[in-house]
Amino acid sequence: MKIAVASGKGGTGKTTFSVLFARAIAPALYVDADVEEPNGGIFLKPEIVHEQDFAEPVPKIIPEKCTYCGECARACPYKAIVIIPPPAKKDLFFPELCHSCGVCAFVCPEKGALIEVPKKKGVVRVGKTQDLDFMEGILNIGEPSAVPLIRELKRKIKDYPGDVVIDAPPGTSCPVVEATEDADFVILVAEPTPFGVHDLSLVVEMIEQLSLPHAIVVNKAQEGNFIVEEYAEKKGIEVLYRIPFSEELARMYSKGNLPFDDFREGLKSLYERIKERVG
Amino acid sequence: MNAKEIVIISGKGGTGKTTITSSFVWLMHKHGEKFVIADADVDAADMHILLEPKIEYEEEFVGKSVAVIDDAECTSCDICRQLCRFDAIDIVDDTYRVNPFKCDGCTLCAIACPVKAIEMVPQVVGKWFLSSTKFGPMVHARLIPGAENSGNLVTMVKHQAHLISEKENIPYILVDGPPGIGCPVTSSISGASFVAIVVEPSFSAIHDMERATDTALHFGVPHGIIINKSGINPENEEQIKEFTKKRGIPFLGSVPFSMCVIDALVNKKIAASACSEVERKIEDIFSRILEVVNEKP
Amino acid sequence: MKIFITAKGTDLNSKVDPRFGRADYYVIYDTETGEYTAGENPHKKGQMAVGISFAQIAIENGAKVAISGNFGPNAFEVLRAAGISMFRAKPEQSIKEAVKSFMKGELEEFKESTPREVAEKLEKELK
Repeated sequence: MKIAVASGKGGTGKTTFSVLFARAIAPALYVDADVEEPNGGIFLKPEIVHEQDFAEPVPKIIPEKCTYCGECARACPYKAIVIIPPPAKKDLFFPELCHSCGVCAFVCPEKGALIEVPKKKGVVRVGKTQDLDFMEGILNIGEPSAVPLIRELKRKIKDYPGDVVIDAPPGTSCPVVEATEDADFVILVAEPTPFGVHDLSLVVEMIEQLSLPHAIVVNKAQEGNFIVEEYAEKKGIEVLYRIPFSEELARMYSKGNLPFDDFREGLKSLYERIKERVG
Repeated sequence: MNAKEIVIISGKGGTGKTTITSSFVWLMHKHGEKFVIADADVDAADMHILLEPKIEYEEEFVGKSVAVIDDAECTSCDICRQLCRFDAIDIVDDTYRVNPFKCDGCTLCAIACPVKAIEMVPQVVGKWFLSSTKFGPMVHARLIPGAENSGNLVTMVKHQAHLISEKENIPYILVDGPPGIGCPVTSSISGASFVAIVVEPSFSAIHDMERATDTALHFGVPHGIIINKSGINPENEEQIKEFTKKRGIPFLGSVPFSMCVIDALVNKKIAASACSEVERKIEDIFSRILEVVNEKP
Repeated sequence: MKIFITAKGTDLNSKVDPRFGRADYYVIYDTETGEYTAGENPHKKGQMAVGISFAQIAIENGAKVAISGNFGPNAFEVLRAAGISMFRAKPEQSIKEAVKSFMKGELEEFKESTPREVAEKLEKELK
């Protein structure tokens, strides 16, 4: 089973939950797909056994063959190439705008004048901690999109024989869609504040569009506060678990630790309930 | 006249960025300063819950175009699917279909299609709003969940805020930036006069803050650190302060963690208005930022 | 020689637009003939990389000098690569006044490294 964990915004406890959950159901694979800010490793403290560069093709102009016709610059949908025509004959490339789409190479009329070369955009690290396998992607600063690296992570986990917990990026935009769309089940972590419910409603909208089975987990739950449950009932979504607010947990979290054992039993039974629903 | 743009970001969500920005708003208003509020956190725009804007104008925002295959013209040659680098073309029931969620809008398929069966169609990806609040004019936006282009919508929000500031001669623009790093944050930092980075004293936040600071550095924008939820972990706080000293980044101040702030949040009140300690700390921070911002022409 | 100036209007009495990429209009002034053409900035509301596209208008029109309030990092790189010198207009100047100031050598040349270069230099120093 591939279970993705998402939240409407950062800071709701998505990583806290993902990490507690992955540890509870191990042996399994935990994947940190929040490639702009991967945090899961801080709490799981895996031993990294393998690190692989993630690269994508970017254009390189061969001055001797280039006629500076400007076709590539005109065709580039992201304005990443600038060609200054003769007599100046200069070419400029803005890597932070490039999406590695391949249009420039396709339209270049001069054979061999524009080639594509790999450019490192991030890294994938693989490791292990006790019986939990670990994988994370780290995107280089300035890279315009997290999506290609997340897609690479998905390629790598596609044939994993056991359960996978995907710690998705926060929010509701493209990277989150990429991380969650092939999951069997999505857990939405929400906090019981007006903000929390508002943000939850946005991510619910996205998940509904993707038609993925989902349920809610309340984090930082407070006694007598059921605003998330009230919202969930209106939408007909199950709330499967509540992690109570605890200063002790907040303090541990700030030190990079989590009380894994405290949640093991509860999260194992949550896993069973999800398994029933996925069928 | 170029308005001074003060942008508030955090390396990740949950550090309390919106709490701080809204407190800035309240405080600047209390001091009689004129400013435009720009809520650039378009994936999860939270400022409007606290500021209660009255929408006066709204416009749909057209984002990138996505490819659409004309069934009638398509000859199923498969060239588009093979060339697409984003895995966006599938065959569904013998028909070639572009998945609009995966399509990057790069136009390669449209260019390559031998029978010109593919068209690029602009997509509405959200809406932006011009509103009034009791603190001043506000620009905010909403992205359709699942849609991309936060970077461009962020740019639009800032652009509209600048238009207002010019028209009404307003000297400051306060931007509540999106969390994380990457395209939307880059857009929010570009053109800023100052970037305040909000961190909380947790182990992961320091690691996140480094990346956020690197982004601001990459763009050469003056920046400084604010520690929110101060008191949870004094050790980490010291580490953060040392980091700022080592890098020569100004440390702007700390805002304490307290139940008062949490209660304010739950009751939809602005933290500075409800908690006097928060008001005092934000006052300090705010005057330091204005000092830096008004130094440069 | 042709001068490319960002403008708030389409005649020589219009004020210089201090922004480059998102300027409202541009004026191309020929110092030899005293004639000028003006146009609306088609990239003003563009989604991204507007400085790049706008700079290319200066290049296409054979400008040797660009005058604005400020040049963003992308525009700066493009104009510099094309060999176009950049100058900062004085605050609130009209196009006419800016050109006069330029001819008298009173305008500050924008030679600063781009923020990216500043940042890289800083990073090296800090390591």
